[in-house]
Amino acid sequence: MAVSRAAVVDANFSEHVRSLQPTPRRWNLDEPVEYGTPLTARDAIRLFEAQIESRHLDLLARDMKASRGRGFYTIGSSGHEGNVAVGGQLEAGDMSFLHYRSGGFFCARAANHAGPAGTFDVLRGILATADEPIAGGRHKVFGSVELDIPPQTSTIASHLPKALGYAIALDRSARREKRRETRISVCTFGDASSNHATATAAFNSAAWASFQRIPAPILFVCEDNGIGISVRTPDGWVASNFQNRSGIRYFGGDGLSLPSAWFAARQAIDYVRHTRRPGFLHLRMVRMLGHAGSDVEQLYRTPEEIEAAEALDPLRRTATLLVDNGWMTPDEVLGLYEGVRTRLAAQAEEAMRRPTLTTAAEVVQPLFTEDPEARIPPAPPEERERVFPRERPEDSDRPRHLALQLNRALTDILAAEPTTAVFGEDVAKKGGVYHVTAGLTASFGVGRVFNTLLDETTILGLAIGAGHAGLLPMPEIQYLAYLMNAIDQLRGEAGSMQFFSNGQYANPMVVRIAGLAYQKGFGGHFHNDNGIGALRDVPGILVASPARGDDAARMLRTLTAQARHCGRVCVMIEPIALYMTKDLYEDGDGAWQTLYPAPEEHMPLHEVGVYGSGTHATIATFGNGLWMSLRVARRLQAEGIDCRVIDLRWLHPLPIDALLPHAQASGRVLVVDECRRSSGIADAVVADLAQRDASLRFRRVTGMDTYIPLGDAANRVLVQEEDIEAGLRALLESR
Amino acid sequence: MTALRTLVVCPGRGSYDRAALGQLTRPSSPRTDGAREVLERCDAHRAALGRKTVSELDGADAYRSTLHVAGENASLLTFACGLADLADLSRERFDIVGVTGNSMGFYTALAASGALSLDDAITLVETMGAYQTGNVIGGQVLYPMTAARTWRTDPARRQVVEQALQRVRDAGHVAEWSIELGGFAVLGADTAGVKALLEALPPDVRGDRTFPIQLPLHSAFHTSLMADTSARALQELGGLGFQAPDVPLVDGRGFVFRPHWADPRALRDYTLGHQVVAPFDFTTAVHTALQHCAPDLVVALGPGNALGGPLARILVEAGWRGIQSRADFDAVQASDHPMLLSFGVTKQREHLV
Repeated sequence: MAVSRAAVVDANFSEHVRSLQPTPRRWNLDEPVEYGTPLTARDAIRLFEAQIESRHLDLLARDMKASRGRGFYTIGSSGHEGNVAVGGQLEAGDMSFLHYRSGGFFCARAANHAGPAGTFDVLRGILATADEPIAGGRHKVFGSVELDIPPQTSTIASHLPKALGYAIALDRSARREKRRETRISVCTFGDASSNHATATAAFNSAAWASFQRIPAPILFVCEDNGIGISVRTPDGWVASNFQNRSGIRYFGGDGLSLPSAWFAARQAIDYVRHTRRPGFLHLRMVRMLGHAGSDVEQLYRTPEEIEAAEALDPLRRTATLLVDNGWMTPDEVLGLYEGVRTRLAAQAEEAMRRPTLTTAAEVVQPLFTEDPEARIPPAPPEERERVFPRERPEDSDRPRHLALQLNRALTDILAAEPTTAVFGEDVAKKGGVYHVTAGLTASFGVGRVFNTLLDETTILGLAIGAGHAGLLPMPEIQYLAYLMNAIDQLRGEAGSMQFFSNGQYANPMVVRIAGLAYQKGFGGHFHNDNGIGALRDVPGILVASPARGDDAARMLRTLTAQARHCGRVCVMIEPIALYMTKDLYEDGDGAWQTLYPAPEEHMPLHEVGVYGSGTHATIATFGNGLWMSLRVARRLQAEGIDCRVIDLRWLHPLPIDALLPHAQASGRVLVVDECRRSSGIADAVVADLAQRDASLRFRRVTGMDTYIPLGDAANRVLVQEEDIEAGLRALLESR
Repeated sequence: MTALRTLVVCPGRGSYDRAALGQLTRPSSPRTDGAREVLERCDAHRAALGRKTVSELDGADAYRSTLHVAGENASLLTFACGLADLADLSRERFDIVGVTGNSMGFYTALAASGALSLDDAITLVETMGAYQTGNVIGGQVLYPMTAARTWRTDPARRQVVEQALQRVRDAGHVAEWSIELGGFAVLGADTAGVKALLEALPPDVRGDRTFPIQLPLHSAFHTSLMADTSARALQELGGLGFQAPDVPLVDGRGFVFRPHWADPRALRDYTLGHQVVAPFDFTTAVHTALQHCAPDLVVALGPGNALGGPLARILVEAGWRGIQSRADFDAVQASDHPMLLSFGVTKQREHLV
């Protein structure tokens, strides 16, 4: 029969304490806990109680599961309790992004706080109760609005870019508001995940910022237990990797020894707070009780190795420290240990009475907040005069193309919303590859429109962090294909924040992405990417794609308003091929250019664009597909075939309600989807419509499931006008 | 039978009412030696100062508001009744796992938790009470925040309170939150501000009472109007022997002073500083105490049962032990394992001693 290591660790602690010899009592708790340390006895005992709380949370999680069949989470913090030294001496406003072994950190921070946050929250998290105050039963996380700890679900250090983003945004905001900032950003992670691509992006970008003296007050806390699930971290690797990094100051400490961890943390926190530069705090830890309750550690560690790890138990070390120096007797230590056990067990009994989420509606409730009335009010007239010195763009009767109207809309939004910031690769002086951001830096300064380094993970991390700092970020991703190396920042991080914080935290942003194909053979697959499946896969995200300038301006305002007022993560895919397109039916007709809609005008969410009132067939499309479909519809009109063309505009969620009556008007629906067959929207449009009205007839025309080649060959795999026409004819002939 | 995990809650100064008269000196059931000792020590302290003893006040033939409600008398009366009740509480059946209090009840809680010795606590209560002699500063106004016939705080009504405060402040008066009292707002204001608050808050009839109600002979406790009192207290009482409590002690912010490591200076600064001049959030204190201490039972010390209603409402809001409504609360109370017992209710006292 397998021995429960939890029971062994538990018993060994008590046995160890009983073996300690009482020493003469000392009473002035404001003295150093031992000779030569700045850690007082009072602080040591305070942190010891947090360590004990964290340990009992682990023991209870396993006990509830084993003996009661209750609870869903057994990844614990045992062996990592030295992180109390960090959590226990940060200031309350230092926003902290914690990984899953930060129980001690959380308990120490809670003990400094006035209010109910604490172990009862964690227990409700383990039990996934609906009234758990941060995630509402959606995950077990360390998080609390009161404690300035946004919940993190990352298991791969994918929360590090946003922690850096928050740090940079903190000081950027302060500088703009001409005030001094003292808060810092903190993130914790393990040795194994310090190797993860996302983590290394954050380290690199922090160093990049520091190298240029861009303030980035972030404390990276690496809790190094020497093993990632079953894979050992080579001895000395983390120190070797981080000791001599340009721009990031390294601090090392022994997380098994409270005075050592305290001293190292003190130095690291002070360094970051006062220099506003990145610090890396490397704390040695030990992993006890396996990776999780389900992890059979015996498969990859010998019993001797397991016992050797347990012998390093930091709680034993702290107990010894306190008893040897006369601050507590062994009986008092045991009294505290057992007292916490009893208290947390009583909390667990209450937590087990709490209801869990029972309906799908409850589960998804935080994902779909939207306010149809949300608006970005125009900037004051004098500010608009400043940014549009020649004339107000809505007063011009000269139609212009999509790129320029987007540029104007961005100008208006930046003028109207002082919290907005535009950033990305080449967006500043160059004005973006397609000039969509031209002139914005001149109008609003480098504080609000700035270039980033060439890393999409960092760009989106900056956006998430900026949102946490109260800004409204509008990052640009230069090409749709570039998003894919950073998609987890939207999927796993930004998109999930409202869900896992029960709507209490949000990562508002409007991500603009230049994308889709049809660049006349130029650019190849990276610059012509037409895969949007990864975006449509992100729950709760709003994805839009305008095809013309006036729509784009209105839609950008709507997305910005939803981000601003509802905290939504919004993505606008801008069709590169239409940025500068002027004509529609014939060369020189200028029919694809539009006037600029007045800044009050917003596009109603989920509203589709309707072209024509034909009843022979309905074409549902978007982006380049709209441009092509309108041309085909015009040609077929000459033959007496009367189509209506619907611009879907909103790609996620799809505007099926708005589309349905137009589909029913003809009974025949052709979906023209320029995306790859398996990645686009055609399947979903057809399936949703068919489910609503089984009498409808369908065809779809889509791009092929392939990468886009260079040259004219691109057109062989992309939807062409003749494909649309053929599709329509087939649809009309079908019975 | 294991002892019940018990959270002890100490009432504030307004709790010694007509019904409480004689409970120390003419008890209906015998008091313990501990209770008698509390009374003796309180009496000795008052006698040495040449003031009417607690026994004399409690033993008066009739309840007179000018005598029993006056701050300099009511404070130690309330304290003595509370601590005497605590002394009577059966420690075999009730394991005290946390202590909190409302307003002046926090002073009682200091003694009940062991953060102050009995004598130092008496000095604290008596001195703070004596500051009130002929020196009532402004006043307090009580107003319900629960929707009629429910026990849950209504955000709209909270809004009404906030708006009234703002209007009174806009008119140039001092008007602030004083206490969050489990579904009741206690507001503190200067004298003209109290009058303005009474006019600004829409009348609300609850049973035979029409709110807002001004609390008689109460100063604007827990507001900035008490700054001088706080400064004086820090000077005159700063040397009291504050120490870490023996059991968790929850203050009017919801901060838990814990045994083993609580900082006596922080406790002193909070007691004589912060809570004197800033709102006392009894609601958060009890929420925190429930979650931190996870009690099986809440025991309200006497005198009276003024905290019974607020505590019941907080239990409902906290959903403690599945209590989601007034009906749930009544059902739990009628069961073999009630959640709230008050010394001020004779039948419940019998269960406790």
